[in-house]
Amino acid sequence: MTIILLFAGIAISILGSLLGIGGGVILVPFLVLALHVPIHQAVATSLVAIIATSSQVAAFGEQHGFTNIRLAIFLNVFTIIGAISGSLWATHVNEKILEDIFAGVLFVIAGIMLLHNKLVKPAPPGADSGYFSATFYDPYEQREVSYRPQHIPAAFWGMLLSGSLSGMIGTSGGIFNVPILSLICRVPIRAAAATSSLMIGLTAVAGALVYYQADFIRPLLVAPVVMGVVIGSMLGTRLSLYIQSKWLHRLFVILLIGTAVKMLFA
Amino acid sequence: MPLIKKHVHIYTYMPLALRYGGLIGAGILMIGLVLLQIHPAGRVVAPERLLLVALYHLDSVAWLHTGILVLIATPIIGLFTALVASIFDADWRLLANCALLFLLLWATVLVKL
Repeated sequence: MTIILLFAGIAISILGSLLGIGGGVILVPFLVLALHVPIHQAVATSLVAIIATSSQVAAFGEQHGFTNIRLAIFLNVFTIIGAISGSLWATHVNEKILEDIFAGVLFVIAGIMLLHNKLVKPAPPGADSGYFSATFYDPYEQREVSYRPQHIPAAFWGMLLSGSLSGMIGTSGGIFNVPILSLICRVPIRAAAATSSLMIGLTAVAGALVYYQADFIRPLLVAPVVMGVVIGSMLGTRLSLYIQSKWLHRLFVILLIGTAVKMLFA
Repeated sequence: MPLIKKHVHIYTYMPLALRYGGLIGAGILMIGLVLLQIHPAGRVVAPERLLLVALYHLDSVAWLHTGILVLIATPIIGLFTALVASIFDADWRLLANCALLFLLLWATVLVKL
C-alpha cells in the first residue's frame, strides 16, 4: 500500500505540475474513489501535501523576487479566516455532503480551466507608489516589471471563499487565487502565481491544524503521499518545459467533469 | 514605497525558512518510511510529548508523525521570520498583519472540537 501511495503521489503531482494546478483537485478524488479513503482523511492528507510543495515553490518565488509578500500576508488574513471556518464546518458534516461540494467545485474548476486564457489579463502599466506596489525582474521578458495592485478590498470576498474551500475540501485554492489576483487586483501573472503559492501554504496550515486536532491526519497515509508529491513536483517542473499541455488540459477537463459526476452519484 | 526585494530582510530569510523547513520535514518522513520497511510494527504516538522517546527508539510512525508536524510548522516558521524581518525593515503594517495571522493560527490551535 505504501508503494502504491508513493507512486500515486508522484503521478498526481507530475500531472498537477503539467496542468498548472494544485494536486489536491486530483489527489482527493483519487483517494476517495480509487482507494476508498474517508473524505475527511483524504482532505487532511491533501492539505499536508499542499504545505510540502507550496513551501518549496514559495521559497523559489520569493528568492527571485516574484512574490509580493506584503500583499500575500495581508490577503492571507481572509483566506485563513475562510480556511478555519471551512475546516471546522467540514469536520462536523456528513461525508456525502462534502463529496457533493467537492463535485460542485470540480465543475467550477473545469470551467476556470476552459476559460483560463480569458481570465488572465495583462497588468496595467506600473505605478511606483502605494504600500503594496512592487517591482520584479521578469527573466522571460528580460525587463523590470513594476505594478500597483488594485481593487484590493474587492478581492477580500474571493479570498474568503478560496480559503473556506481549501479548508473544506483540501484544494490548494491556487486555481481561485491566481485569477482573483490577476483579474481583480491586476497583478502580473508571474507575480500572481508566486504570491498565490505563498498564500496557499499558510491557508493549508490553518486547515491542517483543524484536521490534526480532529485526528483525521493518518501518518501511514500522509507520509508516502507527501513524499510522492514532493518527488513528483520536482519531476513535473522539469517535464513541463518539454510537454505541450494544451491537449492535456482539454483531456483533464473531461476527466474532471467525469470525476465530479461519479462523486455526485457515488 | 515599492518593494525592492534585494534590499529587505524579508526576501532573504523567509525563503530560507520555507526551503529548509520543507526539506527537513521531507527528510524526516523519508527516514520514517525507511524505518517502516525495516520495522513495520510502528504505532501511533499520542500525546505528542512522548514523541521524543519514540523517536529515540526508532519507532517508524513516530518519525512519520514528527515529519508531518515539521511540515505543518514550516509556513508558521516562515511567517515568524517575516515578523522578525518586518521589525528590522521597520515595516509596521507588515508586522501588524503578521501578528494578526499568528493570532488566527493560535486561535486554531486553541479551538476545542
